[in-house]
Amino acid sequence: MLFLKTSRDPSGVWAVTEACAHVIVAGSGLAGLTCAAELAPEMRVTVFERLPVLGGADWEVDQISVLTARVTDAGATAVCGTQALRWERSGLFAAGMAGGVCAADLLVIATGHRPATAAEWGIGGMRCGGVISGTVATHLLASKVLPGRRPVVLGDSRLARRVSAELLRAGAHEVIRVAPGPLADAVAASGITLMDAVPLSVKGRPRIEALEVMTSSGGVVTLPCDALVLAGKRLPYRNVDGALEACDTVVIAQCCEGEDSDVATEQAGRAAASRVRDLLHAPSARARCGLEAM
Amino acid sequence: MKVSSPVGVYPFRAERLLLHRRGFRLEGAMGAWPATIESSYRDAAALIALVPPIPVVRRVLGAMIGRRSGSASRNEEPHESQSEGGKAW
Repeated sequence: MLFLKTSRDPSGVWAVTEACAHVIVAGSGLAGLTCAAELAPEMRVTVFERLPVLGGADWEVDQISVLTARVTDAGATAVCGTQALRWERSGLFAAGMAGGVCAADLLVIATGHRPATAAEWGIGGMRCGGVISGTVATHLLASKVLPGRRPVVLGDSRLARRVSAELLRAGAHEVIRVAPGPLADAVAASGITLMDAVPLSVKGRPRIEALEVMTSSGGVVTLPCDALVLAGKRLPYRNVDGALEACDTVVIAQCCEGEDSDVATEQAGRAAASRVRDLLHAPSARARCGLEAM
Repeated sequence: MKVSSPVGVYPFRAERLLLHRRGFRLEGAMGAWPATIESSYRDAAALIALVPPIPVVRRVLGAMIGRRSGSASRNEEPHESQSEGGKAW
């Protein structure tokens, strides 16, 4: 496909300046915006965001606001309130405020991360209520709903630390943080108990009453609780259908497992931009994008 | 202006204020999502209850809204569209 890059002259008039590739960035968090800000001055870039504003849930964070301004000033198109659903060679199928098919040469997946599910942790036992994802817990807490008075928070991530602190502020009596291996914040805050253990199974019906864990010494301990918040093992969201099969037209802008910092996320965005340039400079890609003739 | 929702707190941009006989309609957007605030003079009592207890402010507001509410109910017609006869600002 052949796309045209537009730029604005000093009087504010947009004009077509050159033929270039069109790259879609799915997700406008730190990684997506970093990638889009790097690429937008060089090519046509469209950023898809499922939430109604660029930057998503973090739109008010200073770093995100600066990147948002850079992306829009460079002429990138923001498509907010629209969920990227399926990638095919001809483009992206999306649903929402500006749904439909958007033709493009490359797709950058910057859809962020999610906490591992109970099954991904290998937690057995009963299927009971009160076992929720850390992201759901933050939504409940923001809506003034307390998931439990004596919750167990699983994981050693920023999300786990944030949810634990918010649970205590919202009125939880005690929070037990469980993670395999030594936890990053070695000194627990008041009301938070840290435990180096592996979760085994949940007990309780219809609602969770206890979590069985294996401690570092090999003993099995039963922790009474009324909620289990899954907030560890950050796994990349790969929710754009067809994207993983198209490795020559898709670039991933997500941190590796275990990386959980803004620096690593920004680095993932920059690395994705660099990979996009490499892919577009490959002769096969230039021919596919119709750039050879220019 | 910001509005909270189940998916987070997002900016609200007011685009059009429509006054009509029974109240007002504020049209705008919460980012990319269209959003509307609609209020009738029947909401007045609840809104006044939210105003800090400064007697003068309450009395003035009550008088203003009561007058508009009275004239609205006199002119009220059954099955009339909310936006009919409105004026955009």
